[in-house]
Amino acid sequence: MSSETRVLRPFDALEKTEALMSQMLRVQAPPIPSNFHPEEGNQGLAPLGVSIGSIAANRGTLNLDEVRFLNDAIGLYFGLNDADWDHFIGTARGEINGLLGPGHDPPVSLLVTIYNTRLRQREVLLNVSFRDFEASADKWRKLIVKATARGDRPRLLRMPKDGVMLRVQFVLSRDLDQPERRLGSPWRKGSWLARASVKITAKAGRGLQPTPMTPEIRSRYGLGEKTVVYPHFFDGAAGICEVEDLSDVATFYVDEELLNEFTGHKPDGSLVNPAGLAVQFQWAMTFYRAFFAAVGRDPGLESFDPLDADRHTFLAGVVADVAKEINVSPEEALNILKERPEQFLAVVESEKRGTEYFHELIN
Amino acid sequence: MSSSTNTATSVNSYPRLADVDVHAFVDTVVQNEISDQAVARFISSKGIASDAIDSAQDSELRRIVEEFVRDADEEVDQSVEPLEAKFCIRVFHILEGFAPEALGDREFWNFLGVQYFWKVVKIRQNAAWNAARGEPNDPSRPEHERQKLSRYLIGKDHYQIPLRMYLRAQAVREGDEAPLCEIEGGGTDFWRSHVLAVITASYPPLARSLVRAQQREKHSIDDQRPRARQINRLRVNAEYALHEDDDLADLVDEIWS
Repeated sequence: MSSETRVLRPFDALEKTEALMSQMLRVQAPPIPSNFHPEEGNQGLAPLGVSIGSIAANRGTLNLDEVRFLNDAIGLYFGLNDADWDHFIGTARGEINGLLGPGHDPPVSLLVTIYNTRLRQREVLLNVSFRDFEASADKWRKLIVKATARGDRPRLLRMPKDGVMLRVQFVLSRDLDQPERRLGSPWRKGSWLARASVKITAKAGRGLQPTPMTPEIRSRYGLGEKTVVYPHFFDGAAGICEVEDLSDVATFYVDEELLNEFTGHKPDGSLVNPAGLAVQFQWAMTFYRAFFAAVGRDPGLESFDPLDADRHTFLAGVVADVAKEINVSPEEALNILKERPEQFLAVVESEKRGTEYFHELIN
Repeated sequence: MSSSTNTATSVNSYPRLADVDVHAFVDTVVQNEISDQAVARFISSKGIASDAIDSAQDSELRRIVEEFVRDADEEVDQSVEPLEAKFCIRVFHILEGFAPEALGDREFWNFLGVQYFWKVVKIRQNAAWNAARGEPNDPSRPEHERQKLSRYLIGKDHYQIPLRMYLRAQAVREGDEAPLCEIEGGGTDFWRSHVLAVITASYPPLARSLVRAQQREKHSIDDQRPRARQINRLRVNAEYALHEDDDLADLVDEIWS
């Protein structure tokens, strides 16, 4: 694997604002009802019919069924009350002033887009100047998609099978004039200063479930009679860095008998075989080993950017997990994967330990 | 595993083929004697009616494929790249006539790949086609080559023939026309690696600026790569959803010259 030193963000941006977006931002369908009492927090939402899956935070997934994907209004929230909003907007204003100099109307916009990865299509849901955003009467709650009839709905929200990536970001709204530019600060129109993203999908289920390895599978792929596990990648390694859903590109086969033995549950929900958790964990590590080997062979690794929020790729998720586990940046974690894949795998093992189910291990 | 979606409260009805059906198509119909009749029987065996597609759209799709086959004049693989370029905009226009629900479902694209575009795949990806029929160009990797054929038929990404034609026209069209699809100096590697496989394709002003620059410079594949890396890095740091062509032309020209 090649080594590469890259500066992905060659300028200062709104780091604190982005961190707050990570903590506070939520996307919800249907939107938070008007009779919600913020002081009750999330507990106050359940009686109003808001269920798990209909709320997502940064890098999370909003899981809707097809009908709701096609019909629900969608809300975007910066916290859950006015105090959250004041903290958020005050931080953003302070950082923008620090970055671009004080000004009533800074050349910064809040831009909310949705993106269909497969069709390479993008739509703008919201484009508002920072000044207007800051002064908006609705404060922390924004309605970004109305519950509209099919013809009026954003085109990409009429594609439930593909789903969309929703991105929220502060961007420069114009090129800065020469006197406005500062060394180490962005000046080009479109430069993003802080961002967060959420996947909206109607696809049921996530993660990779093991599939029984039958005699036909052994014969088809030329496997031995005593083979226990086999990660099969349909199209080899090419493009694996860009994959969002592993089940699109891989099947993980496990010996049928052992699969039943180590994943079966008793009526009380506990595993039939107490060694099941440890065995499933080892299977998952076998999968990761094969996955990272395939990643190493993918020509796309060279230009892979773990910070590109357009791509909620499986690889970006693992790189983020590793970065968090050992407290390094995602770029540094990616370099570890490229230069010392055995260390990367060892950290994955540490990060995943304690996870109980196979499909959650590979998720 | 195929179905014709018809959920009254959610999406329109349109034909779909599961990925496993496409693999089965390659393993059976392509490997044995393929013909229009064999394809029709296969589609019918998956429960898809012969009139699943509106007749005008059906006729236009068949006409595009017939003209492609006629114009190929027995040329195959890379040598018919200009033909792929030429037909992109017609493929784009006809597919834009389908409901968003269908376009946003890869299994609809699977159907398009098998039902209409198999003849184009046979010509444009002839090496993979031959491998699937047990005559691989590289006998040491028969399974690898055979599996590639499915990729040109399955609508999951820019490798699939109709999807990549649609994406190419979408990325660089100017109104109803797309002359940039056919630039000299393009070629499979340029389009796949530097336009379609990367997010550049999702920003038409950026894609058009890049393609115009390549039209002018005609860089070799080796010379394209370092410049493409610079474009990719630039793109990672910015959002181009609000840009026009003029906003980006100078910037791209500077990198690509």
